[in-house]
Amino acid sequence: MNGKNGKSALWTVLALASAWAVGCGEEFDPASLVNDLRVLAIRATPPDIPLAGSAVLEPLVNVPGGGTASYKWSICLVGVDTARGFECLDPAFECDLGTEATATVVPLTLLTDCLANAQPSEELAKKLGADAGSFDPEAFFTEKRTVVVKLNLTAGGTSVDAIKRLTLGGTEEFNANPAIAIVEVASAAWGLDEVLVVAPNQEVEIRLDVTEASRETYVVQEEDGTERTETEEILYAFFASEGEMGGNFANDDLRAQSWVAPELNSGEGQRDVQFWFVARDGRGGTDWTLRALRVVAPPAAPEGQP
Amino acid sequence: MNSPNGIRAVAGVLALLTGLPTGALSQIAPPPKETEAPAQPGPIVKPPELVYFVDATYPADAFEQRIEASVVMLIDIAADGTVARVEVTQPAGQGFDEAAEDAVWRFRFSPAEDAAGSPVPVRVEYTYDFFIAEAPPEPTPDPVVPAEEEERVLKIRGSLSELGARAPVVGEAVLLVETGAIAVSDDAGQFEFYDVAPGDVTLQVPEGVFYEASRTVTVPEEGFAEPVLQLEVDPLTEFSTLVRGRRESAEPTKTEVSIEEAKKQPGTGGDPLRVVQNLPGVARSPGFAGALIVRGSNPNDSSFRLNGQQLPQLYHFFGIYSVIPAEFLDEIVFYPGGFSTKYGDTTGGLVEVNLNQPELERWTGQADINLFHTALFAQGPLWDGGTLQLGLRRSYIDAVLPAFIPDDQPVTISTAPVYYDYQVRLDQRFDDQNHLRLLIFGSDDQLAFVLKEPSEDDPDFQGRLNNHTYFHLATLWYEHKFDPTLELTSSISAGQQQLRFGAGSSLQLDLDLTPVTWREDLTWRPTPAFTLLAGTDSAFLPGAINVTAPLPPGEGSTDVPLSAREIFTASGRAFFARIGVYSDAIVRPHERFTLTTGVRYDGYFGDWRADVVSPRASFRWNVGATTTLKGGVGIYYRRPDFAQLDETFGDPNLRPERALQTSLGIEQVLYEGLTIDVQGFYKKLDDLVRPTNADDSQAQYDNGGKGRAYGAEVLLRQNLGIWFWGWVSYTFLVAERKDNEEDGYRPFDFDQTHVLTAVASFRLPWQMEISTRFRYVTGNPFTPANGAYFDADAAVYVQNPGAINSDRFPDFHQLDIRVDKTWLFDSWSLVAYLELWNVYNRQNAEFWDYNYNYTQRSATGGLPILPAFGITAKF
Repeated sequence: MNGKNGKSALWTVLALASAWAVGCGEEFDPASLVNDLRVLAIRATPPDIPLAGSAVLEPLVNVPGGGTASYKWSICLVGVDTARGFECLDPAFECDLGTEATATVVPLTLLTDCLANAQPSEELAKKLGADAGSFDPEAFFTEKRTVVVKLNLTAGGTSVDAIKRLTLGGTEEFNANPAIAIVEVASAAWGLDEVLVVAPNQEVEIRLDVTEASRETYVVQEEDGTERTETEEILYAFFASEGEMGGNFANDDLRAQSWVAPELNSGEGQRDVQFWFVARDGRGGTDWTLRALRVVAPPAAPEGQP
Repeated sequence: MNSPNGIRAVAGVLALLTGLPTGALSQIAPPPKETEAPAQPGPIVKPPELVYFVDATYPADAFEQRIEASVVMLIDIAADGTVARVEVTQPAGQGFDEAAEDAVWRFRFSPAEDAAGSPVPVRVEYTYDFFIAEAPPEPTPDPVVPAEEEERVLKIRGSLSELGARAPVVGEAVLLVETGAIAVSDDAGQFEFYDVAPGDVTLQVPEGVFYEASRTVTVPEEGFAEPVLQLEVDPLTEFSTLVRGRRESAEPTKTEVSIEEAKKQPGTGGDPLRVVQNLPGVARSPGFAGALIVRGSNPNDSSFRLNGQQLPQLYHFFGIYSVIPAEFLDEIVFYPGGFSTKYGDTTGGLVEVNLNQPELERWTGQADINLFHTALFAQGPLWDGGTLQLGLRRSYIDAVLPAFIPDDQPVTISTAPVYYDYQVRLDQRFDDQNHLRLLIFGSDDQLAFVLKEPSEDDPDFQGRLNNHTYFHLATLWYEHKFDPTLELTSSISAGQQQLRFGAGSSLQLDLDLTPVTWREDLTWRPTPAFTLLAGTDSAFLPGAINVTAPLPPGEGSTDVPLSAREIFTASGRAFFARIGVYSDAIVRPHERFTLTTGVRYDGYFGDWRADVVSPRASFRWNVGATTTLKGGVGIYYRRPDFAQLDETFGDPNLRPERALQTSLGIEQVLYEGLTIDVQGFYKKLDDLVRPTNADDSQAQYDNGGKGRAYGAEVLLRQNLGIWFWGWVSYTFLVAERKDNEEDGYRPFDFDQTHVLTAVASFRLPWQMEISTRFRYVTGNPFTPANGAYFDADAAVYVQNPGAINSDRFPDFHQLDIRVDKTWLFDSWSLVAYLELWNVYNRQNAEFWDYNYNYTQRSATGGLPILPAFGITAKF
């Protein structure tokens, strides 16, 4: 069951109860099973871009069959309309970022090249807190603003869209990407180049963690003006090209998910499985790592033995 | 009852208690095409008895001139006890004849019987006396009392009691067959016969309110016999007490349902308030929501009133049961629109729930056990004029649900769903002029669970999720009659209301309210031709609020995961007040025509300020004895939702939403007890609150939305009868809205084009009753997903919405069946019911289940075939 509606707590419990009584609707492939064209994450380095700085954008993608994909990057400097999907609030404020696999955001260049003549509508200016008719992009971005990067990925006649928010402007970086430090299976490290071998239907527990240094603390300003310090809580996402993941996510308390290896077809000796692990710090910071695993059929018993 | 207090039209023949004199009877010569009477009828041995009496309307002109009159009629009573023909033989003129005839058509008799015990049609002469008096004459039965009692010898002292109820039967006649003597039971149910010869005699209670009963008694030589006769209520008369004549009504559109009728509706689990969902104009509420959706309106546009006072909450969670049990209630009155100026701050429909009037001679009680809860109820007299009713109900879903959650589900229930409610009601009738009612009641719903890991669809949806809602209220009503023409009801309600809802760190709502509401309702009826209703209707709502949440979803909006939404916080104290003043003048320029005009003012104070004036008018025109035309027009206002008025979440400068409601209809009595009510309506909505911001990073609303709802409602209804009651309700509805001119009108969220509900109940032998309900409803509109994009920060997909409400769920239809069985014991009774919901297991869709990136979907959420049962012990 993978319901998108009925998100209230009451509905969730009711859905669980009725799932028992009724049975779920059609079963869909979970998000953790990756066998289609997919953007799994976008990492900006750094995730916050001072007005005089720059950032590199990289996507974590899966292209079926390992084929080539085309990329189309753009940045909307005034936000997207969530009520109308993927539209930039004002097309005049959407700037092209190129068609490479990665993109670079240089704020000052954007302001001079792309927004040189952009003037917001009266309604948008009101929303931005700016003056319509005398909009000064550079002055506007002396304060930190949230902007949206858009990526269109196309391969094999299929196209998918993704967005990522960036904090742009001001004079300093205040967030850094987390760094995944640990990938463990059954409490043993799973190295970057290590191809783990498991049996069909074998269940393993995969545990992730980030470096303690990358779990940053930050200051939150309350409504009444007081400040409090918070520590980033990491959200871990687990993806595999085969098998069955216990869940798509784990929080900072669990940091682990179980995974069950697929069965092999008759006569199939082994099958390779690709894993993607993503960590997000909840403030725009992202990191990921990849692993490989091989499902191998157990050796046949000697003749005459069961 | 149409007459003012002290002015009553009373049937001169007190047939209610004593039956009709056989001398007034004559067998009807059956009309050639209509009768099944025997060709050679024999003598009538059992006369018909009037078991359901209807007050006639006193003609206004005659009343003003203090004229009294008598109308003599011949009434043909069919073999089933219904009135087949009425002929005025001695008219009185001045409107008396028509009024008497109208009333007599609605009489109900127990059938006359011939020597073989077969029911036969009869003709009776009947005199309807109209007279003006302070109070109706008390019918005093004429007990057989010996003229010189001391000279007679008591030989039988018996008693009558009601089977299954521990109640004495009062005023029932007992026949001593051998001598023809009759005795009438007293207040203790006792009756006596004197000077009866020793030996076996037969005592007989003729059929009437109770089934016929007889018993052989041996009269001793010395002393007297003490037989006990237990009488079983005849369903005919049990039902006849429930049939409701249409009250004098200022509103053209209301529908009344008795609690007894409502309790036996299948699909309601015995909860009478859920019957409203079967009435015309009411859309089907999705799933278990239990929301009241009237003529396409948002549920928040409608309201519930308990004897005029606003109810903070009608249902426990999931809408399974209401917070007030049926035992406290008398009737449910539903207005899909067009209600009088008595109520304000509502642009949709209104449900008025009225408390019953306990007249208790002894303590009684009941215990109710069903799948969801156990309820206890007791009531009885306290002192002179004082009665007490007590109720307590607690669910045990908390004991059951954890067993339903599979171990592999990523959820731990820390507080299983549990609800309870309680009621303490004191009634004190000081005298005929003063009546005080106090109701202390409350309700509590709790649920908490922990999601062990972030939700697959929305990783911010994790951790502890909790919901706790409760209220405790004390409401006092005081009714005072200054004189027969002037009456004032004062009521005040105060208490505490709290809502706690949380989901992880991204969603938290804490709301603490101490509501105080106050009403004064004055009725002045100087003449039958004029009534003035006036009063105040005020509410004061101080409270504290603490919210962490995204913007609330709007009309037609799609579901965006919490993780991808901007979260706002707001906290502080709030104070909203509304002071309403209303006045209605009900004028009857002719006895068949009633015109109601009124105006209402509502002033909103505190954290939001507005003034609105709502003029309203309606009419009822009894074109003939069986036909009534009716219509109304009025302005209705409603305060925007609290969230829309909040500085953080909305705009405190919003204006009230406005509705212009019009309706025109006709009521036709097709046959005794069978009526059809057809009406068309048009509702124009202005100043609807709409979001003006394209994204949700900053809340902005204005009053630029417009809407309209129009259609027709039909109610074909057979009132409670001997063996059958039911109704067919059909609504054709178009409910549309536009938030800007360029997009044009689109359907409201609850625009259901066709809503058909058929309810029928059949009384079977063996104290059984079977009821059934069928519903067919056009699927709700929804906004389809037009693909989705991946939000790389929130790690979720967000759907690209298509045109708002441009698609519909599949049509809904469902059949429910209910069977009731009653067992009567000497001093208590047991009622058991079994309901079967969704008999043919229709897979109805309540919502779409999408895959992670919205490229696939399947309908889900409908209930499968499901049994429910319960038992009630009454003592």
